[in-house]
Order: sequence, then C-alpha cells, then structure tokens
Amino acid sequence: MLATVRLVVLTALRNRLFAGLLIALIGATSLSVFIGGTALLEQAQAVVVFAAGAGRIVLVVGLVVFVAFHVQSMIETREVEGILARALARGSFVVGYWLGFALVTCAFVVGLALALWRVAPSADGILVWSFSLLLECWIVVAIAIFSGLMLERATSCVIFTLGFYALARLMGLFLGIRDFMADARDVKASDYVVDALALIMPRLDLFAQTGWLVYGQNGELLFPFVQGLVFLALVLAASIFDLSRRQF
Amino acid sequence: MFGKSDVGKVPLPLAALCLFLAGAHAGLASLNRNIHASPPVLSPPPGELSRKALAFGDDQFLYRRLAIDLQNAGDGAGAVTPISQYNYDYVIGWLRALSELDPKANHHFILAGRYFSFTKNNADLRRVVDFMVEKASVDPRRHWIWLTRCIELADHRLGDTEYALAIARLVASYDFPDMPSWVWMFPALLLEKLGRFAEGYASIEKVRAEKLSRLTHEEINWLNEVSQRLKTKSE
Repeated sequence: MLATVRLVVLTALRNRLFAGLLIALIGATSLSVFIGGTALLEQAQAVVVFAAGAGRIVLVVGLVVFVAFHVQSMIETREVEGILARALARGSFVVGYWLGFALVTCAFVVGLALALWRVAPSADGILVWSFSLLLECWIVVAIAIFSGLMLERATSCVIFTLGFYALARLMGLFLGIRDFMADARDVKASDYVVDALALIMPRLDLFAQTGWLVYGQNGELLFPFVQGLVFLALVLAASIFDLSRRQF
Repeated sequence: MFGKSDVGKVPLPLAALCLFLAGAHAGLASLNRNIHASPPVLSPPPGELSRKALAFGDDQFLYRRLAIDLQNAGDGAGAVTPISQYNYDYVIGWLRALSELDPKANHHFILAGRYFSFTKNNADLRRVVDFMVEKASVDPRRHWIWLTRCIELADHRLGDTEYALAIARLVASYDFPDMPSWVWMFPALLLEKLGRFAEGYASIEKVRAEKLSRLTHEEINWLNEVSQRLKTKSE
C-alpha cells in the first residue's frame, strides 16, 4: 500500500500537480487581496473570506480534474492491470491510491491555512475550517476515484464528481425547500426524492464555512463530520467493491 | 508543420464568396451594433432561496461578494451613477439581504450610513436611517456606533430632532466597555436643542448619578458646564 501512496505522490510531483495548483492558489489569493482591498470596510475579513472560498474551489476542481485524468491514463496505459497483477489486493490499491491523494490534499490545505493564518481574524476558526476543508477534499477525491474507476472516462468522471459536489453543497437548500413546502401542497413525489437524496448525500454545505475565519466556529459540527467520515468509508468500500468485480 | 501558402491555387469563386460573406457579416453587424445589454444601475436583490442557492453553503463568502457588488453598483466601466438614480426599494432590499447573510458584519452598515445616506430625497434617507436603527439595535454591543451616525443623519439631514432624540435615548440606554461618555450625554444636548431644558438637565444629572466613575476629569468639567447651562435655562 505504501508503494501505491508513493506512486501517487511521485505522479503528482512529476505531472506538476503541485506546481499547477500552487500557481492557481497564488493567483486566486492575489485576486482576493485585490478585490477584498476594494471593500470600504472590513478589508481583512473580505480578503480572508475571498482567499479561503476561492482556494476551496481551486483545490476541489484541481484535485478532481487531476484524479479523473490520472485514473483514465492508468486504465488506458494498462498501468492499473500491471499494479493489480502483483500480489497487491484490490482493496489495498484503492485505499493506497486514496491515501496518496489524501496526503497531497493535506499539503495544500496546510499551505493554504498557513497563508491565511496571519490575516484571519479568528485563529481557532482557521483550525476547524482547515480540518473541515481537508475532510471535504478527501470526500471529493474518494468520489473522483470511485467514478473514475467506474466510468473510465475523465470527462464523465469530472462531470459526475463536480455534479455530486454541487448537489452536496446544495443539500441544505433542498432540505429547506422540502420542509418549507411540506404543508403548502399535496404532491409529495419530490419530497421523497429529496428525502432519498438526503440519505445518500454528505452535508458538504456544513463544511468549510468562511464565516468561521471571521467570527470563530460555533454550532454543532460533530454530526456532519462523523457523517462525512462514514460517507468517505462508504465511497472507498464501493470503489473496492466495483474494482473487485471487474475483469482486466 | 504548415506548408507554404499558395493564394494562386484558391479557386476565384471561393475567394469571392469568402469576401462577400465577410462583407455581408460586417454589414449586418453594423446594423445591430446598437442592440446590447444595458446593465441596470441596481438589479432587484436576490430572494432568500436564491441567496441560499448562490451561497453554495457558504453564506459568508456570498455576503462579502454581494457587499462589494452593492458597493460598486452603478459605478464601473467608466460610468458613475448619481445617488438620485438609485432605486431605493432595491437599495433597502439589498441592505436587508446582506444583513440576513451576515448580521454581525459592518460592511452593509457603512454602505447604508456613509454612502446611500447621501441621497437628497428625505423619504429615502429616512428609510436608510430606519434600516440602520432596526438592524443596529439587534446586536447593539457590536453595532452601537452606527446608531450615533443615525442620530446625526436624523438631526442634521432629516431635521427631525425628535427622531434623533429617540435614537439618542436608545444608544444612551446601552453601557458597553468601549462606549465613550458623550454617547450618554447626547439626549441632554438634543433636549436643549428642542428647548426642553428641564428634561435636559434631568438627563445630564442622570448621567452624573449613574456614570460618574466612568468619566474622566475633563468630561466631568464639561458635564458640569452643560448641567449648569441647562439648569440656568430651565429656571
């Protein structure tokens, strides 16, 4: 498994994922400093919020695109068959592959948190925000690996994962609409759809709130985080299940 | 990668067709040149559900973005819009939307109190002041300073000293560690302006009775001076 982790980290280095994402993050942060600096008041807050929000989007999109194309390239070049031909169990491969990207994500999140540390008004908020962003990225990477192995095409994988991410980020809205409209009409079909979705989707809308960086974190986070960890394990298990029934 | 071009080999009718189509396109483009989007000075504010959808789970990010949008609305691409051309139904709607996204922040207060308050329409200004009083009194520990701006606007710009007095009394009822003493003395000064000297004297003596330990030597001197003046006028 450690060899797979090393392979992923080396591939990320070789394919300039670190350099590419770093440049994108620096660009997003610079733009945030510029736009936040135009605020009439609370410029520091605006800069931190813009940098953190833009950093999250850059990180998620960058990781999804990289994972999707990496999985496709591994399948096309039959590299995955070469790896699985060895004594390595398929479960170890999936977990090792995810762990590699989890490490890569760690490096970026820690870097982003350190960059925000000096300017963020709330120091304790940044710890919770960083951990929450880390968990969010881990979940997104796991979904990208799952869909990449299942769909085998990078474009489909990117669309699937980003669609899933958008849905997970909007779950609070859908649940709000569902509860708000519950007594206002008789048609319940959409309610069942939303209820079913709520059972499947992680609540990413409760993760990585930039408000924590300004005012500190308050409110219940244990449940969403535990639910996120369970969902992460579920996606990895589903990836192993899908891979183990595949014939190469 | 590319070979040498040989214009002579292009069939003449094809070249003529290309030229004709390019000319026709340019002609049509010049005809519809004036059809373009004309961005409004200020669009209607997004509703609660739209805001939730736009936020993608991060209300604070949306607050900061929309606050900058409102700050720059009407002023961009070389255009500057006079305050009189803003639709104040929308302005108040935007300010409310921002305060709902982040009730703790100050950015929407400065937009209300230091930008949109420059309207010369008193009805619009009163709505801005009403908004600020309503929202600042929700969390006065954080936002009491904006109520002092409301006093100034109500008294100097609206010419409604009674309204200013009501706001001043509201601010004077608060007692937070970072509050300067002049905030408690505002009602007395406004009562003096209204010619209600006895009430003013009672108000300033109340400050003396309740806040004396919080006042500096210079502030006590000033309080004595105002108190004496009000007492003389009231007799």
